[in-house]
Amino acid sequence: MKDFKYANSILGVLFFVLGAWCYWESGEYVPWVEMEGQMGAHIFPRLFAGALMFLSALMIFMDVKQFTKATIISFDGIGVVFVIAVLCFAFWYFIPIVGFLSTATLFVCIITAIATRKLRIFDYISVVVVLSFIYFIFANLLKVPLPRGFFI
Amino acid sequence: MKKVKIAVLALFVSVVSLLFGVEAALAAYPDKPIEWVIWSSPGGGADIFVRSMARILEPLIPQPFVPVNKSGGGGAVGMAYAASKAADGYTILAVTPNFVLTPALGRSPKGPADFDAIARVAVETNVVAVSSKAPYKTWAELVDYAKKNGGVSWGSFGVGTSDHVASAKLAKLAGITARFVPFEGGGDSLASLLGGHIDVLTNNPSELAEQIEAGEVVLLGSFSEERWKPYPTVPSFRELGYDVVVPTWRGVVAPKGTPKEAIDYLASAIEKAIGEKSFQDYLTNNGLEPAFQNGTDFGLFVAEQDAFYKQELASLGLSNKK
Amino acid sequence: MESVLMLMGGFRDILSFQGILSIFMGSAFGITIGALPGLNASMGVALLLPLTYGMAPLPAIVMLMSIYCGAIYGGSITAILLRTPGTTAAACTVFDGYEMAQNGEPGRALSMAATASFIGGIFSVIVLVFLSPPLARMALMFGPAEFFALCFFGLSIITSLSADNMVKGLISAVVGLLLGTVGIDIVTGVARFTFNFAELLNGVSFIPVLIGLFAVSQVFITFEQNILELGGVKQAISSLRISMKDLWSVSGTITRSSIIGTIVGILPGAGATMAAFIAYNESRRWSKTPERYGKGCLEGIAAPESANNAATGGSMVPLLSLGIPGSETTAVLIGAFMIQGLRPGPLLFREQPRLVYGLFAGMFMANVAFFVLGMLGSKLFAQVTKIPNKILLPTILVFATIGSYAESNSLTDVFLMFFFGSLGYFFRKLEFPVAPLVLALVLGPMAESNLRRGLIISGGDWSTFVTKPISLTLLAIGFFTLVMPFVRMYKERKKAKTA
Repeated sequence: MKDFKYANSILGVLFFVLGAWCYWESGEYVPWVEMEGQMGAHIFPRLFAGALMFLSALMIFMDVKQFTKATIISFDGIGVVFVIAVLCFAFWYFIPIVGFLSTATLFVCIITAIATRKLRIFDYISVVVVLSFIYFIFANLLKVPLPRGFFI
Repeated sequence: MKKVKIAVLALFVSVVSLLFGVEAALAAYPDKPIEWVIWSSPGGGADIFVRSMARILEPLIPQPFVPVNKSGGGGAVGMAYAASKAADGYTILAVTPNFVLTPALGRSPKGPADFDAIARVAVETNVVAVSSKAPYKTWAELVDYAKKNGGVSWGSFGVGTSDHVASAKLAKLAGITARFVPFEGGGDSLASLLGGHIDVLTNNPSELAEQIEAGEVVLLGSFSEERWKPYPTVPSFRELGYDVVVPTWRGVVAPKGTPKEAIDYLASAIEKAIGEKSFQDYLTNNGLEPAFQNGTDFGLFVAEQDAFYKQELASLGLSNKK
Repeated sequence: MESVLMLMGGFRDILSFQGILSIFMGSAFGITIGALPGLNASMGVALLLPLTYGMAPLPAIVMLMSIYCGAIYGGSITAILLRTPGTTAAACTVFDGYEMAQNGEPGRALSMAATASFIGGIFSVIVLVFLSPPLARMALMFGPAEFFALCFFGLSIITSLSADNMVKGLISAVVGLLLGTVGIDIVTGVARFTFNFAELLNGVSFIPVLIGLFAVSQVFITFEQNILELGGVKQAISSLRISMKDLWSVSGTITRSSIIGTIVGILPGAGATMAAFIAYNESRRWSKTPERYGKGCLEGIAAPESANNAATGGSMVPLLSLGIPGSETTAVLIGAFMIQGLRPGPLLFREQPRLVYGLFAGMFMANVAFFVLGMLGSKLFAQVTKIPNKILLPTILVFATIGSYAESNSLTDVFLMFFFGSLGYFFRKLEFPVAPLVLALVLGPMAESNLRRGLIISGGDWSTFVTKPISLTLLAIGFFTLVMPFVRMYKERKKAKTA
């Protein structure tokens, strides 16, 4: 994707939809008991959702009228970010099934592979050593509970 | 790395032996650490209770306890987690009245029906306190004041907690208007009471102990059945003619289907621990009263409490709304 | 005069071998806990609480206080080096600290943080020793109405935090406010935006959001920009520490921030994070060169760090003189007192003055201890910026995972952390400032619950907020802070037109 200049308008629409949805959702929170001085649970979410809709409309307006400089972004590197993000969520998904230490070992090795794009054994050994060290500190010294799975 | 490998291997072996040898494992219960689920964060009331109790229990049984904090949602997270574990006696959960209140308010899919009771450990009470600078020093004076001034502002721990239920019932019986001000922690509400921002506060006596001794706070009454032992001069509300007895309690439960042997084993260990001097001291220091009940009795007690709170919540218009 | 003598006695009591050992052990542990993302001061104290069962009261409680002070300082280390605030109180230190480390001056940034924390901490201890009783009475004057006004003042900073792009900054803030409404509404008991996830009933936890928005988004950005360029910092690293001249140049900021931090710390429930944000903004407001903030200036580190450590002494004021815990950590400290068969409060002053002054002296020494350790360590810590990206990036992701899991043992928090990491990436790509979101998420829920509490107490009468002098003053200052950037924008536009 080349330099894309309608980002602000599109974002404005997205935020407007988010605001509208929050506004609609908070309709559910109207209190069932009336009490003197008691503000319902819906007031604040409604207020904020309304503000979000107003601001995003303002942003679209200013972008279309070109009052503000268009935000020009390039998505040249989005591919690698997308891969990393997917890996992160996969990591999260597999922790409770496989276990923290084993999943994390695989995860850091893949991340290092992407970072270096080489297969230098030394790099992998060093990240695994660092990982074991962190694990040792948290699990054994600080006794902080860590996610567990089938294999550690 | 070798250590890790050995650990992996050891774990694998133990898992396999567990799969094939459940019967044998049970005969020697407990033969591995017992996970004790706490539904407050480290340092919270339930957390300190469990950790103190585990320390006293540990010499009495061959395996250690592993406290696991699963805080959130008035116990809903802890209940969901504990209920998802195997009912093999190696997972137990510490409970308070939230055990029945949170499900009754529709905030937890898991509830007493998903657990077997092991034992009740202690009971405590809530008290109604006012600042010593206030123009009222007794409950009757407070009622007069409230009637003259169109109501009082009353601090509690949020809608649907045991202290809110008790106070709301009391205010209703006394015929006074109470504007309930919800607070998140004992510190904030106490500061508001001392600063004169709220008129009345319902709280745990142990959180007020220092202020009571220093004469900053006056107790008007307790929600216990009889006078609360540490404060014999404070009347109970039942004594004053209001039928509001709302005990709070601490107990231990396990996921439904836990073997009877394991439950009895733990219950008798807890009973022994309650008899220890150090535990008695801990309880008195924290305003708790030892009140052991075994699994069967505690189960019946929970069912009774469940019905009681459901009825009270319904009369307050709070029950299981969606 | 009497209290000076008592304090001397306190120093005599604490400066034993065991006392000094427990102070330094506590500080070292506290700095570690604070620096590790996700583990905060209250967890650190709770973790070491069982160790104190067998200790004498004075060293036991002093050790835990050292953890508290050390952890609040330690949070700045990872904030500066890795853009990962170790504690929530260090969220503000990221803005300038990380930039400064990236400019090749991690040593200067770290020693600034240690020095500012030290001065702020010592200032607050002095206030604690000499002014506790009157200040505690002042804290009681803060009811829900006053707290709402204080939160409003804190939130009003949003406009100046987003002055570069007002609309986007405000959108970011409103998203933070909406996130703050997630969870059980404390007043009515309704579950808002939880979609039947029990984990969301207590609201969106702050730590995963913080780690995601700052640290993980940074990892993504680094991957995008210079994966092949190995090494965390582009510039050569200078081994410089701060000089006396530097310290002199930020002395005004540190004094102001220490006062702000102590006062905010005294108010039960307000805490170190709010203190840091307010101090940061005030420092920028009074600065002659506000445009340097956020690009790596010393004041931007000095202000939040002196304020958040000043809040440690402040929070001990209501604890020791009233028995009221003003923060999560002091609530855990009450547990430590009770283990020793003691109860903090007015009676403790009367019955055990020797212990109380020992605690004062111990807290003083705790600040000295983390300062010594921090200054000695700053050179060593600064080496972190030399770690190549190929090692650093996976390590940060692992830290982020453990840190967000640790607070409530919840994998949902880990998911949230990665989610906010992705969101933070887009926010930064699309030029949305992140700071307003963080601030709104901290203060929004407090503002809401106190506003509603205030209204319940007054029976629905809104005038309660403007008839109380403290509340009125704070609201007025807040309103002024809120509109100031708009006024400035208007003036600049007018100037541009006439020119």
